[in-house]
Amino acid sequence: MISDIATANNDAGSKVAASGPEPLLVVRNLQKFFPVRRGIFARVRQWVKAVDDVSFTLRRGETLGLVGESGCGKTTVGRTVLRLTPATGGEVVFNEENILALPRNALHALRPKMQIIFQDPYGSLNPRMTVGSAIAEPFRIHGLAEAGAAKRKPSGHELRERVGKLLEQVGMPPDAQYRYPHEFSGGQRQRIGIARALALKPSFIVCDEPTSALDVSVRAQVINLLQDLQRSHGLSYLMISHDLGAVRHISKQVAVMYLGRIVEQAPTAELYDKPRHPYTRVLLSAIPLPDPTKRRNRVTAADDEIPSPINVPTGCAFHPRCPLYALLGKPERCRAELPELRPVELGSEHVVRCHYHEDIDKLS
Amino acid sequence: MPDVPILEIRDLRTYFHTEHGTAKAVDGVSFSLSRGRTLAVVGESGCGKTVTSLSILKLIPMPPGEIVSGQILLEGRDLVPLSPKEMQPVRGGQAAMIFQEPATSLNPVFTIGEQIGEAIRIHRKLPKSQERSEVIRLLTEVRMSEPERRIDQYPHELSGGMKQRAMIAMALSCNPKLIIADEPTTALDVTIQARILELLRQMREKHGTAVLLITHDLGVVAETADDVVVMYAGRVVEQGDVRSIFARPLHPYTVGLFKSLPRVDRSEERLQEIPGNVPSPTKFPNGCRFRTRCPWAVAKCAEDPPLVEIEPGHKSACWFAADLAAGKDVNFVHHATPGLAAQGSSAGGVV
Repeated sequence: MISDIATANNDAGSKVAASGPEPLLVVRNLQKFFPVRRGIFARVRQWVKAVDDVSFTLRRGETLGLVGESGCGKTTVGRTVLRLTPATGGEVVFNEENILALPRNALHALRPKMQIIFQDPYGSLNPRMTVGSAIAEPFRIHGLAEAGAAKRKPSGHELRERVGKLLEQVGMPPDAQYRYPHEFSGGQRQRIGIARALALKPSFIVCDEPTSALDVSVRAQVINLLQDLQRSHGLSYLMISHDLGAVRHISKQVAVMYLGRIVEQAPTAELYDKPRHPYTRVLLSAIPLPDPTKRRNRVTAADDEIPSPINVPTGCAFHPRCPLYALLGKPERCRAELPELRPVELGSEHVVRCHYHEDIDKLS
Repeated sequence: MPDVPILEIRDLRTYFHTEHGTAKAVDGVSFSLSRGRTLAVVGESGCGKTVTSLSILKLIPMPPGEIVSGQILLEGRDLVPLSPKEMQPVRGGQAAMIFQEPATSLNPVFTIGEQIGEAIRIHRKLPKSQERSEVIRLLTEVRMSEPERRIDQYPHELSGGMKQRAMIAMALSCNPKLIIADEPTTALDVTIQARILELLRQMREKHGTAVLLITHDLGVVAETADDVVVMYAGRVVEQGDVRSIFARPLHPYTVGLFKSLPRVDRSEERLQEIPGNVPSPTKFPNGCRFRTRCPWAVAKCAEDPPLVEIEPGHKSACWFAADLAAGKDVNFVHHATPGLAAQGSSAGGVV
């Protein structure tokens, strides 16, 4: 599930990507720009480059973590990949089809395979629908998704049975389907959201901050459930989160985004233990550790404020805040030239978008 | 050791009378906080930590809320019997509060300068001419960039981190003895969170302010607190200094919290999880309120365990705290999701 290094045109990288399970989802040079208009009839003056040139590969049965701070574009990546919002450019190849180019009916047929779990289990369930009808809604649109069976209208009895089984899979009693969302706690509602996402037997699920609204004890339950389901159903996850602990726990690979671009991607343990991009260092060292005996040396950004995505700085977008740029005496190259996403060494799965990543250990 | 604590809470009980019954949101909570110290109240939603903090400044809506009994001693004076008028100089003057959402606690139609200036006007006799320079001084103290420009800006023109700095400047404006910070960094990104926590720490060191920190984040606790109170379902279940609580938790709930935490500094195979959910405040079990989720629960747990000192300065409300002190481990064995085993074979495999 190495990032697609096609942008960096690195053959060694593609060879590494060829090992392991086959790719399920390949994203190439994905772009999503939002127009900024002033006034009602005004012309488009500027563009917010929410996602710019994002490429990665997700392999079957694996999890890719996508992390970054608010406004970095990670949620937009999730939505664009599912074509919930149209992309500005790029390709999203799922099951060998570019879903960004598919006509509506072909996309509709593919939808059951691609699902999403949202952050807010309160906002994503209709309060007027019983849990059962919320979970059964996908069946009413797509049929029962039985292998080989023709698409037909399922009977009430069949629906109740299927919904009951789905609820059991997520650790809820089958008769929960006759109750309403407000009768459940946050963790239970997240389980219901997961059951709904599983209804049509997807192979790929975008998990958009699935644990952020949950309490610590319940968060562990949901993370464990997602892992159990991944193993038993062979699911692939794109795990979008700012919770770097949860992402470390669940992901095989992690990509870090900053102002619409991936700045670093690596196998999980390597990214957390040997980060090479200055931004990744700043981000990781900012997380408070639950251990009062450890006083950590923080790598801090030169400026707290993230620039607006309307006016992305020239060259490397991180340079105005970059502690390494400051340390190296503000080299011209960081201001002038956008660094490419390159393997840290030949053939490595670890890619980084920094001109001076070899000097990273000068930051202490 | 300082003599008189800045804040001492004795057996506080704050109940809410609802149509579903009485919710005993805070039910017999006691702790004290000294000058220059940070006390963290930790717990999950519904444990009563926020109601505790709101009770101190009597910001609980009454009715339906009611401080049923207990004392809240701020520098030795009990706040519970005070009238709203008598509370006025206390709020913002002696004790100030910082909330989780700086966006909603600042008034959108006034500039930052007007809002901080108002706090100064109400609590301090300062000539109008000096007000502006005092606000700029405060904004500089909380490291707001370009304070001369920010003072005339409205909240929507500031980022989340800058808004929280403005809130802290407002809290500091009257040199309070106590700052109550309720999840002050939860709405912020981690890099900004680190800066704000650092700022709170510096303010405490510089002015000797006592900080009551309400949080659910054990990382934040480990980095900022001197002392810790762990709450569960309206009660204090464990209390002690931060190092002993993190080194050896003496309540199964605290053990469970630590074990269920995914860490950034190491990988583990599987997280242990506390089964079930926090009980609803109108339906707390009798006796130990954690017993419905506790792997060690036995019949005796239906009796209320008292909060007693197990090790010097380290208290626990568990009948088996001595076993934990002796090194016995609580195992939150994960029961694989029941429906999965049966379902796995039919739906398993790559589709």
